[in-house]
Amino acid sequence: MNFDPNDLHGILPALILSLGALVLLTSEVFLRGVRPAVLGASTGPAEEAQRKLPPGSDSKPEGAEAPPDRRYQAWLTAAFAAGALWAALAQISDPAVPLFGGSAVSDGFARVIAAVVCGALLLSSIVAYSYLESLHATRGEFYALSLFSAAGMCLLAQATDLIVIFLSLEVMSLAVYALCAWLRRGKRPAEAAFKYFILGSFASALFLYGAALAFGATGSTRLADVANALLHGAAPGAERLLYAAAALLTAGFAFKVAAVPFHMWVPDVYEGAPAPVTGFMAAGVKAAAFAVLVRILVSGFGGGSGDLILVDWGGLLVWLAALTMLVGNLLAIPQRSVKRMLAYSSIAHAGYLLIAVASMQKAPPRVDAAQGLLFYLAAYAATVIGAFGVVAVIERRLALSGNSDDLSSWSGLSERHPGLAAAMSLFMISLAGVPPTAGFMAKLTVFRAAIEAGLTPLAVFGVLTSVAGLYYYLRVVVYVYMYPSSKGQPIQGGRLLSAGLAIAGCALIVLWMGVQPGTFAAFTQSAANAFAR
Amino acid sequence: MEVSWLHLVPLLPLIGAAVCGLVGKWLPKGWLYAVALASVLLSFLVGLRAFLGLGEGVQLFHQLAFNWFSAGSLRVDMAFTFDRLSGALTLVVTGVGFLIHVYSVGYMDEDPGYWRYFAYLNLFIAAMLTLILGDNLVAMFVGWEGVGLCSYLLIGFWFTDEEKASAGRKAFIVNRIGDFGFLIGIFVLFTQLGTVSIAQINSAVIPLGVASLAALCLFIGATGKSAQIPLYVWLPDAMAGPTPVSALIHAATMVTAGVYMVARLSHLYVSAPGVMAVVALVGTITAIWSALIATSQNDIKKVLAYSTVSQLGFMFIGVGVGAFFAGTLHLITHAFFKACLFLGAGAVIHGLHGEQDLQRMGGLRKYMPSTRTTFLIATIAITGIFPLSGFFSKDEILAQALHTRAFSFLTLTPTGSMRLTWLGPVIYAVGSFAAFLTSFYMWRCYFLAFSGEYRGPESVHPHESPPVMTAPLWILAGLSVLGLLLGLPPSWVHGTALEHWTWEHFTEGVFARPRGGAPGEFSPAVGFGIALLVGWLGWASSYTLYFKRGLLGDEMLSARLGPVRRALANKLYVDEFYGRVFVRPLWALARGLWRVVDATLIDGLFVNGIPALIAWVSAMARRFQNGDVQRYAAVTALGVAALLYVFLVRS
Amino acid sequence: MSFVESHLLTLVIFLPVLGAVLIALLPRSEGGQQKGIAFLFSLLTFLISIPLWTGFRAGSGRYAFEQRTEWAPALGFSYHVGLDGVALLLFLLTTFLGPLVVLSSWKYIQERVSLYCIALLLLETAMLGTLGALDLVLFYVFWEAMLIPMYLLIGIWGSERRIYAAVKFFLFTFVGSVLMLLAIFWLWSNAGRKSFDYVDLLNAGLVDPSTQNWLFLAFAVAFAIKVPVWPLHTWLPDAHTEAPAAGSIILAGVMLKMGTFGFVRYAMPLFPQAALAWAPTIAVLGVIGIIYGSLMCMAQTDMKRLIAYSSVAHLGFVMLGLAALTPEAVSGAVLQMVNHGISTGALFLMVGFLYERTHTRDLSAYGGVAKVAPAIAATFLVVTLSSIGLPGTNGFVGEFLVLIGTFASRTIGGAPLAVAGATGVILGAVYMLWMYQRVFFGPPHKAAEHGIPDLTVREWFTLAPILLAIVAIGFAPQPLLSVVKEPVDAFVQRVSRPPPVRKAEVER
Repeated sequence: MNFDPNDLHGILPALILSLGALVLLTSEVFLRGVRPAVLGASTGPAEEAQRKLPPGSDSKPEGAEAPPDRRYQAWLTAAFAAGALWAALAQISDPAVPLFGGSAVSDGFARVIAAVVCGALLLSSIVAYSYLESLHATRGEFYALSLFSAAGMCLLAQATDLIVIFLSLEVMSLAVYALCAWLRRGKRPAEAAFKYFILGSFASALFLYGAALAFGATGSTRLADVANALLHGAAPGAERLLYAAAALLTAGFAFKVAAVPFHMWVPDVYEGAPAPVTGFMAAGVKAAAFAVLVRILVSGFGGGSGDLILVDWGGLLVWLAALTMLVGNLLAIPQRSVKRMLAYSSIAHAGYLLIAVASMQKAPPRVDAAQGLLFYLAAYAATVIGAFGVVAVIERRLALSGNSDDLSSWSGLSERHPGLAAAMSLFMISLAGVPPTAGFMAKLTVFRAAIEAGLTPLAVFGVLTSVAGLYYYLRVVVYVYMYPSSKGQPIQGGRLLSAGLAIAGCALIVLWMGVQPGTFAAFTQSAANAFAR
Repeated sequence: MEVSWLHLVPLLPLIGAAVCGLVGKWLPKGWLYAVALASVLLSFLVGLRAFLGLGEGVQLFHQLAFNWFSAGSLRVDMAFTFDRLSGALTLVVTGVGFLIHVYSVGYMDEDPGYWRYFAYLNLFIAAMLTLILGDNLVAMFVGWEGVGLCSYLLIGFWFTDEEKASAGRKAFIVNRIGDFGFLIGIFVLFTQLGTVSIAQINSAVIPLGVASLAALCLFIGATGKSAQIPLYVWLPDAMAGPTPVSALIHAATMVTAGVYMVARLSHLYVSAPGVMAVVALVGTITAIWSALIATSQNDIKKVLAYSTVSQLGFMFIGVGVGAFFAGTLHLITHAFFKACLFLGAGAVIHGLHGEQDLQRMGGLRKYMPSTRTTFLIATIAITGIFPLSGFFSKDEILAQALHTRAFSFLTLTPTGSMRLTWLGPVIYAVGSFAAFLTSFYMWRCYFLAFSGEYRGPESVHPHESPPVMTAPLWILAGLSVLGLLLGLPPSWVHGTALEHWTWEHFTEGVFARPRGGAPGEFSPAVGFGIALLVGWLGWASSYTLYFKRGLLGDEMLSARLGPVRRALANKLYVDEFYGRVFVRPLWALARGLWRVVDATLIDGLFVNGIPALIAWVSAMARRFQNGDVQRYAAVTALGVAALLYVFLVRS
Repeated sequence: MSFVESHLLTLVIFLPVLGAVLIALLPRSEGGQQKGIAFLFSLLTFLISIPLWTGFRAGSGRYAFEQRTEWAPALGFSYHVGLDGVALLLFLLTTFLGPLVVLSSWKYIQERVSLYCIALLLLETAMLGTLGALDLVLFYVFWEAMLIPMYLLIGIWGSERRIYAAVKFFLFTFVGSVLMLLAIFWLWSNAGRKSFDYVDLLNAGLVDPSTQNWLFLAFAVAFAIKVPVWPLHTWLPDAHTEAPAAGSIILAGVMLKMGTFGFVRYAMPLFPQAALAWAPTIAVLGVIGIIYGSLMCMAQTDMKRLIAYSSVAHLGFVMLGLAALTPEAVSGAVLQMVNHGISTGALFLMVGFLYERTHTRDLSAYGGVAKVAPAIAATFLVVTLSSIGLPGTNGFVGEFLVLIGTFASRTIGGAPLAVAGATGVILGAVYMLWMYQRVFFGPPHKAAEHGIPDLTVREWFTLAPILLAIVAIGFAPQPLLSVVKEPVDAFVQRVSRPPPVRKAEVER
């Protein structure tokens, strides 16, 4: 394929992110010192001394050589993320341009996704800063990995060629696997990462197989060609191959977006991974994966304009969505670990997002549905990163000891940390989809699209499950506000500041999108026109 | 004639009530009394001036105070009508009311709550006047409920005593049951005639069905307010209140509101002859029923209470048989002598330091002469002994019942057989017997209280009441005598100056004529004869029983007809009956519904049941997520299989 | 329309938020100053809401103080507020109760004051917004936003079973409203105009009857839960009982009316044919509410629970009146909304006073209070009388109009319903006077044990306006009735004689 340097301009965000990753990797080369005990067993007096410390304490062990100051790394990452974000937003209203001879595209849809991803990275890196610092687990690799994964996500959103999709998918996934395992000393992180890796590769394999079938049927890996083949009738028998391909490709990303029944990994992984990482995963991976899912289904197999349906994946997605919402909400109810609850809630939200995707089958509501999808992803990202940010602050004490954060450790938070409490409640309300929050506006956009697409039963089912959701979100608020403080030992202060910054940021975005959705809605609308055919 | 000062009549007492109620606690006693009495007296004077203003030229005064509320086609005004009927009653209410205010100054002087008392009393006067003067049913209803409230407050005046408080509540609720009927009556009339104005109703042509329904509903209201069967049960208990209250509210004025209402709506009632019969019958039964009970009561106030109920029965006979003037006449005379009786009883109780039991009285004529004399006069009046007011009014009613034509064309069967012409005579007979009983128990009461020897404990030294209390007694006694002027048969005073004072003549044209037409000319002589006979018989029998023997009389009676008398002494167990059949079941129903429907069914089964179910299901489903990678992979694989199936087979 | 006139409404709606922000910025001192600010702002809100009354003029079909600006064009809804007569009354009722509510909790609320005040103020804004909104999304946003502060009020400052009550309240009401949200979307996409604007949708013409039926149900259930209509009422006793006095006052005083208001403003006019078809059912449910609620009251021993159930009965009258579809009944229903807000609010207020003194709501713990605290007894009596609808108090006119209007209603066979409903007049007296006697009458020793002091100056100031309102409306209800005349007539006209179904719908 012919390479045109101008195309690089189209993937600017990904480039910036990758550059940042490289910078941080190299930065690590010039630093030495004790490697933080939390990052794995190693011998030596200093480590012994540190291992004896109560987890999360700030004081340095005596006689240990002072570790180099790595705090700048977080800010560096944030800076790069910000840059990429700027790049994405700067292009947001440009016309769509195909890149690299059609194997990728730079359209509004992709740009909004990129913006969401970069925003997510920006915020969660600030959260991670205080989190890692208080655990003495700061390492450049952490930020490098997160930047790489972000780059992968941006590319995923842009890819229109199955091969490119696969490459960026792996770039994203591998980095995320590593991030999950970051705190190696704890038992859970390792287990979580391992599970994630095994099942993730399973999913990748499925995807790859699907891609192979598609290639076999059409002789090309371009989604456009797949669409044409379907539109003008492929070689005899190829149809079936394409159907199989559709199934496998869908399965591959159904796994990534954590749709039931491909969701089993989610709770364990979300619970095991460090809270900031979980937040970033929930926001970024979901966004990217949904972007691809839409591209494959709409650009590849949705094909037809108007009411012409080539492959009826809509009906399937309806069931998938219903099942996902049901299981997600149902299983979230009995959880006492906030992290685990949020994990299930993210499954449930995948369900709501799937409603939007399902509504994209037909042309008329497609634009509204795409808009809903984007809006929802953005709102969910802001909310969930904030939520996990708060979890991160609460969790730091418990992270090393490996036991999960039971709700009881949240009781009376509002008396110790009114700010945190208010923020957490706001995020819960937003996740539940109660106004005036981003979550409500997101639900509005999605369900409206569903009604427009005539999926009323699905919508009814959806709102009913959201009531069940309200129950467990409220329970957090109950503990935070209505139960007396449990022996309230205050959370260590100090590096709270940066986390607080990020959380406040999220809270502001959530409120802003809830009260003034207009501006962002305008973005998403222009972006959604990518699907106006 | 439209005037602008009529509202003063009810307003003045209202102001008095406001003053007494809001600042009375801090006012000097003298001032408070001044305000309370003056407000009523002024209102009386305004009423008097208006009354004298009524002449051949002026049939009535009318004032539209303000438009209270109007919505849709309904318009309700605060407007007052002062005609001969309402005018006369205004004078009675304010006049008797004033006297009782005066009396109360003496009676309630030691009570710490005197300021509350006078506030309530003034408020009552105001409400009663609204009831009387209101020119539409809703305005009337305002007074109707207002007097109910005042009676609630005054019966339960000594609220620290649970019994008294309960009595007040009972009165209010029983009245509310009546008011319910009254409301429905208003609704019917508004829906069918499109108006609530009394004047328009009385001038409208009302179809029989509508008239009957409305009249019946309104009469239910009357049975509540005027203590008729089946709703009379509150009145005896209402004696828990201070005695002047019993005199004013539960004898002279409020309880007669029902009679007044029927008379006021005479046109409506004559349009519904069936209901007239009902009214008359209920009146008759009530009259005899409560007269019987009265013969066996030992609490002097209870005797008077049942006597009141019985007398109200007579009034309803009057209005029921179409002789509205007779009914209202008895209303007025009864106001005089019954108020006098009650105040007398009050003086007795006052003089005996709260003793109410006839068994511990006797021989009081020595200790309280003027009380005794006035009581005697009033007794003569009520027992219908010639020539005092009671004689004429009561006899008028009975005579009218005998000769009435109101029922002449009523039939029990649609075919028209068995006309109800016999109804009048029956009522007459029963009524006369009731009159005999009246005479009997009133004289019994008098003898047991005043003649014979004092039977009370030595510790209690009976004494006469202060003049502030006896003066009203004398005036009322005088009125019970003078009342006879109103009742003189026209034929006697034909062509004399007195003619204009007879009530029948005075209210000419105020009331509608019954469908059957008024009874033709009949000589009152026979009626008078029987009435006299009945009255004296009552006196004689009770004289022989009680005058000499005192309490032994009761024992003799009990010996003769033991169970009957015991039943009568126990008020024929009506309260117990109501309690068993209505009150207790209702509360039981409430508790049952709450436990079963609210707590168990709705809340338990649905509101809390469904979440519980969901929680259970989720707990079950949760078990599946056991952290085992192989299982996860297996599930994923199944998912893929499902997808393949859908895409390959289904499409 | 002058600038002030077109922005006054917005100012009134959002002024409390300003106060909330101010309080949030204060240093965390658990002092009276938060209450001070809260009181100041709620009072200010009331004061500047008075011009709404004085300057109110609305022609047929147009709204007073209307303001319409872009909000989120990309999502299809706008910021559109305005008042008709009905909304105006409830609006003023809300601003009127605002300061009193703050006063009522002056002594009782001692910890986490700033949070409390913020919740109160935000709640006020949410309620005002719900009444003022003319865009369905705007309406829904405020409607749901009411839940959160109230949820906190019940859950944090409530009594023993507060958390159960709070969650029950939130979930119960939320279940209803989500379906309404979908119905709103359905209107947006299918009512022809791709608009959330109430006025547009009202003029858009009707959708076909069967769909109307479903949409009406979606709306009606949401509102019926809020009212609450039997059998959806069981959240109410818990919420009222567990909430702090202020919470109960707001709940009873205003929030329940949002449900009935929803019926008048949205559910019935938007889907007149369905409403007409359902009217008899609604009326019957209203009557059940009256009788059943009254019976429930008779079974209670907890004062607040009793009063809570009395709300069910009173709002039964409102529903009956709305369903009767005669001008008399509907105006009565609207008036009854205001009356219930005043009298039941006052009842909860006074129970709050008693509770502050005795720390019990159990009737059997009381008795003879009238002896030791005559002023409380007197004021409580007035409120009680207004609650049982004695003529001369505000309670009478509303109930009377509802009943007489229902009796006259030919749209639904009104007469028997009115008769059945009128029994509520008796039962009301039964349970209210029963409670009054249990608390205030009888030998005073029980009350003496508690040593109940009489009303304080602050409490007098809190009560006086309410007592005035009770008497004033009792004697001169006409101004209120004239304000609502126009919208009521329009409502009756539209629902009892629905306009034709839209062409496009017919072709479907």
